[in-house]
Amino acid sequence: MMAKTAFAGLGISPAEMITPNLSKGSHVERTFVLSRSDPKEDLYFKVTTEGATKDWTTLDKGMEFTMPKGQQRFPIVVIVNIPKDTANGEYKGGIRLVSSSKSPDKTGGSGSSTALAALIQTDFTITGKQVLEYEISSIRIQTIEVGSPLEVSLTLINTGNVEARPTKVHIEVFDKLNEKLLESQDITEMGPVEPFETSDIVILVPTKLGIDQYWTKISAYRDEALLKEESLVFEIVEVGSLQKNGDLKELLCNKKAAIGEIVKITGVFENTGQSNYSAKLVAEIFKKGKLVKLIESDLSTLNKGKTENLSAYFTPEVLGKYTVKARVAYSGGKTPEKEAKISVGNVGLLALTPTVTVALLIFIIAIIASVVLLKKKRITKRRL
Amino acid sequence: MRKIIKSIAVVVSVLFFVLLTPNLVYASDPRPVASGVAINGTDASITLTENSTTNVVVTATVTDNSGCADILKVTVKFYKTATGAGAADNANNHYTLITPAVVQDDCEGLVATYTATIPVQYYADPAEWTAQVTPTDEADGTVATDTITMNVLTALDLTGPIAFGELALNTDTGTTDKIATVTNTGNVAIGVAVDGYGIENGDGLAMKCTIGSITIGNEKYSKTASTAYASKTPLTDTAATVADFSVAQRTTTKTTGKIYWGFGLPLNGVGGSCSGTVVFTAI
Repeated sequence: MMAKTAFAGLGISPAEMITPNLSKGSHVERTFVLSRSDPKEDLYFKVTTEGATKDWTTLDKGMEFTMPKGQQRFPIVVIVNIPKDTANGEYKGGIRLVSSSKSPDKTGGSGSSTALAALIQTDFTITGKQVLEYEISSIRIQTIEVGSPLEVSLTLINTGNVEARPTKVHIEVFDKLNEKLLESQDITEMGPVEPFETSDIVILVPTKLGIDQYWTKISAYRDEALLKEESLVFEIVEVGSLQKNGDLKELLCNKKAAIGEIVKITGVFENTGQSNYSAKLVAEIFKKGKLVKLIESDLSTLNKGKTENLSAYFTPEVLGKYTVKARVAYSGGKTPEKEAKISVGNVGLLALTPTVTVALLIFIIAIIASVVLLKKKRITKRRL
Repeated sequence: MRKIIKSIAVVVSVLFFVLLTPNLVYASDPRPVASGVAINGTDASITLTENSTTNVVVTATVTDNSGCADILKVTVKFYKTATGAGAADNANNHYTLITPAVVQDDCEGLVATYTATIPVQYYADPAEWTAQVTPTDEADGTVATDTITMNVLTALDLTGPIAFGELALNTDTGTTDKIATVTNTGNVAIGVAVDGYGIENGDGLAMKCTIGSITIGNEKYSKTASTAYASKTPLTDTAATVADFSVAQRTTTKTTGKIYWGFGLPLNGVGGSCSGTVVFTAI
């Protein structure tokens, strides 16, 4: 008789996903962190969804995954897709993540082992109205090289169900003693942030300022209302002073896929340099050592110190094992390559290629024809 | 002569006033100014780690028009906004770091940058928090602040397995309890939901034995010690909240709660060793 001892504790943060303002067909992704103070062993998770939101929620890690030994914090992304035929209203449910250990300690006697679970409570409100609701959580300005435009970044938290951007950003630049106004501009054209996303808006402002330290006052408005204002210091330095470095930290993709299935290949990339720049993931797909496809992600603007997922997509058309060799190309450089393997099998009807589909159709027609012929033969025999 | 003595007296008085007033601001010596405070870069919220500390990084720029070398110290207070900057340090809601713990990363011309790395406890209150940066040369300068949301962390830890030992057929544990101690390792009061299974989730069993199996309802619990087996609540195979049970958020010492377990064997049909699993969920 034996029972497992309890492993270290388990936590989830945040513990709920409350999303008002959802529209029919909305897509929302939110990151949660599983944590444990004593990660002495692998922890296996099985995920179940429940309640009225049961069929709308999935996890980026799938419905079974492992939190590896040594890892105290484990981010998971909850993906929500609201069907287009959903009626307006409030829907509640949950996502339960039940853990288990594969190396139990043994004790004598009859009993129950204990396992810990984490629960993410979900509460979604679906509305037919368009809701513009957002806040600016931070404003920053980068050190730039002389001759470059000023780089102002605003972090916008969009909690509405339509694209959002400030109506106007007013920028004033003062001398280093913060006494004399040198330049002043209003910016009204800038990229939006998608519904339910938190993202940076980068504004490039032409300047004639020379090498020195400066003060700036940046004000973001929604119509006439001031959303946020910051007084910040920045520096303009000589050309070539700012290093542009980057680190491709991880290359992620599903290890198994079916023919015809879209495989998402994600590079987790950190801008470790001293300035903002644009970057993209470039991946070469090899089969038996032969290059079969070259894919790229969209070009993304990455702020200094920021880590972002750059994703490209690959659809295998032939069975077999593929090797993905990827790197990130950014202004002035590229990272070393990282590798991942994908094993492609023929799973499910959706994975059928046109050739296989035609072959199957011919096979089915042949069977039907055989049955018909057999029946005709029997009828002929009876008549005889 | 009187005029000279009067003049000397005035000069001496002024000198005394100047020397004995520590926070007097000299017009010719501008005070340092903090700006660009950021908590964990551009993150919109902080996620704590169960039963552990999580480093919160506050960065700021300090400008001193006499040159950044004039800056003597920088104080970073990180506190729950509703608690206020003036409160005493308390792991639930207020942390203070002062130079040299607030590290100067760079000093060039008038501008210096600083970083404070604050180990925040897992039971820090979930609410809006503020980082306030105060630079000082000969006196305190202009403060700057930033705010961030501290996320809710629901978490628990549990003592060992629930071991019932040996039990004869058609008997139960009576008022004898096996205790599962739940420790709150998050930053909000928690309730607990429990469910169980024999081999796999949803199998309707409390335990699988060498011979036969035991249905889920034979394993029971109560939030009260020494409750008779018959009066305890049967375990279910879908998570059910333990009624009226909660473990408070930690303040000074760890907070725990106890759930008392009992077990009964059927008249026949089982033998040998029996084992199952009880799942605890913090809610």
